[in-house]
Amino acid sequence: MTTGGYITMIFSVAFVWCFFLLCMRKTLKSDAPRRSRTEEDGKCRGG
Amino acid sequence: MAKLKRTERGWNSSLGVILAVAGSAVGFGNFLRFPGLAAQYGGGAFMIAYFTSLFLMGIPLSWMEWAIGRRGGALGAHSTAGMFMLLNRSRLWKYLGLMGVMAPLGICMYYLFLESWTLGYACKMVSGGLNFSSPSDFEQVFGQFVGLGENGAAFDVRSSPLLIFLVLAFLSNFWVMYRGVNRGIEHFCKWSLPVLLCTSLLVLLRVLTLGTPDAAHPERSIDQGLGYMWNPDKTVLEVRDESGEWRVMEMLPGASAAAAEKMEREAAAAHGGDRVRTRTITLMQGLLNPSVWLAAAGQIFWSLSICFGAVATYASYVRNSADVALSSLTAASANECVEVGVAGMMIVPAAVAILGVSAVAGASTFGLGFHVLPQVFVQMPAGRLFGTLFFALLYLAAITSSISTIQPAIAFLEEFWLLTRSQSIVIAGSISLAGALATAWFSEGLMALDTLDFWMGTMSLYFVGGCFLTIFCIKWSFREAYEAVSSGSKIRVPLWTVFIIRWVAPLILFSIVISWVVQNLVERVSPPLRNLLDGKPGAWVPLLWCLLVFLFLSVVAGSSRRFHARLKGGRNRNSGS
Repeated sequence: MTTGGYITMIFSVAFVWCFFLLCMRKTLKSDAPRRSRTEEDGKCRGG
Repeated sequence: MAKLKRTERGWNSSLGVILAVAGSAVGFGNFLRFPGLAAQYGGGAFMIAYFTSLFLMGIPLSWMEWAIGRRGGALGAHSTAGMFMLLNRSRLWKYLGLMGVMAPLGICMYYLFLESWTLGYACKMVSGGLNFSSPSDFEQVFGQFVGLGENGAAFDVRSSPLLIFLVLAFLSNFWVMYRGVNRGIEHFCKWSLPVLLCTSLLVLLRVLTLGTPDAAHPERSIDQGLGYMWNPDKTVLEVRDESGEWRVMEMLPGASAAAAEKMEREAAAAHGGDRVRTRTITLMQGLLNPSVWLAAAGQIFWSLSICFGAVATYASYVRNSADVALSSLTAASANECVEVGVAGMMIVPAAVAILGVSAVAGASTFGLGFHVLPQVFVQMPAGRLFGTLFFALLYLAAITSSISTIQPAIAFLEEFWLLTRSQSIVIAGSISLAGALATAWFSEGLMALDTLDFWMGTMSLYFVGGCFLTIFCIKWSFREAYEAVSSGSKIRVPLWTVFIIRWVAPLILFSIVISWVVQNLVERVSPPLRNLLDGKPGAWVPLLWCLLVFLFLSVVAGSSRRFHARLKGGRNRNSGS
């Protein structure tokens, strides 16, 4: 594998993983308050 | 205007719909098509074209489909037939939207057939049923298993257990569908996607630690495999075969000129000097080659599973106030993570390390999956375990994709025929099982599968994509389109992204369509057409079945008064203003 190959692979792989983890982190953070409200509602209804 | 009662509960969380859409996208293309393309065109140029297409076409079109789906869902429609009719305020559009129901259903028919292959191979791996040494043995086993030799061969349970696996695949899919959107699809995708990712990482770890498995072949190593996949500049050694086609035999080591010369001399001595040549693929050449850009854009389009109606149906179950921009981005990123971040370092490097570059170069998607990779796993240390894991994860990826192709039909039957979910599942299940059995029966040369893939899995997608673009770019104003994407968004959606969706993405998609039609129409249609003229219509039977189903669904749509009151109400309001 050449230096260019290492650069291409590391950049591409790191980029997609960072992209995914950042998006997932933001999704889970923004989902968290709604999930805890839904769980509370479920408990109140006895569901 | 009172909202129509929802026939199905929506998603429990945004994570649920994200994983469902990501599951729809992650499939054979990630593991088998992408690695082959990237290796063929050279890692550097291909990846530049790939990421450019992702951000200028893939994600914009994904946002478009999610936005249309959510808007349709808010109006009470969950199939593209209902969505298109309501969003365009025209009864004609329900028939056009029907393609967004029929195309996924047609895809489901041959996808069930493909799933049975992966399940069968997972079982063969675990039972040691693939312990061969000769490549021709693997081809023979595959041919016998899928019934390549003659129609009906795959149904002979004495020679092939494929029918059993087909039924199992069908039951797996419809058991998930029976449980509904949130208790079935969402619940299944919530555990299967993480399992799929972890399993693929395990197999990746095994692959990356292979080193140079055979000391007698130092050119067969993981380093060489990764280089063949990712090197932006590479020189390959090609040999001309009996048919006159140049085939890649080896990648020359760039670092050592002496080693490269030695390989050239040995190849010339073995095959004849006039039948051997070297070809250099450089980054600049790749970037200036339109084929590279079209291949990359095409891979993005197929990989994200956009524009065939499944994503719009999934998005229609999202609450109107919920985000689509971040959800769509997350689903796309999950797909890219599996495709580039895992498969990109796994498949081609493993095959090169065990079998050499010549085994991988020019291999078709299914050739790579079912001829080359079984050989790789059989020769790999602990290969039986990892081969089983690989085909099992491929099966899981296929299921998460195929369940997305069934939901649009179920939604349509619930909406237009007012059936319950159970009734819709029985009808959709019967239709897809009949199609899958027909595809599996007419297995000679796999022409039926190829014909169905061409018309339902490719051509109809371009049509449905065109319908989505018509709504987003022509029917909606710029402001309406922007609001459809950005309302409820948890990320800032710049205004210029709508410009990209309305102008740039359609141009790229149009280029893909034209080039694909020019390159493939004659090549793909001629063989089954010749068969038809020779009195062998088998390849067309599943497609004919799809046509009959489409006519049936058109009658259902035509005789239904669903949504008509909404159209009338809208028209009266407009005429009164």
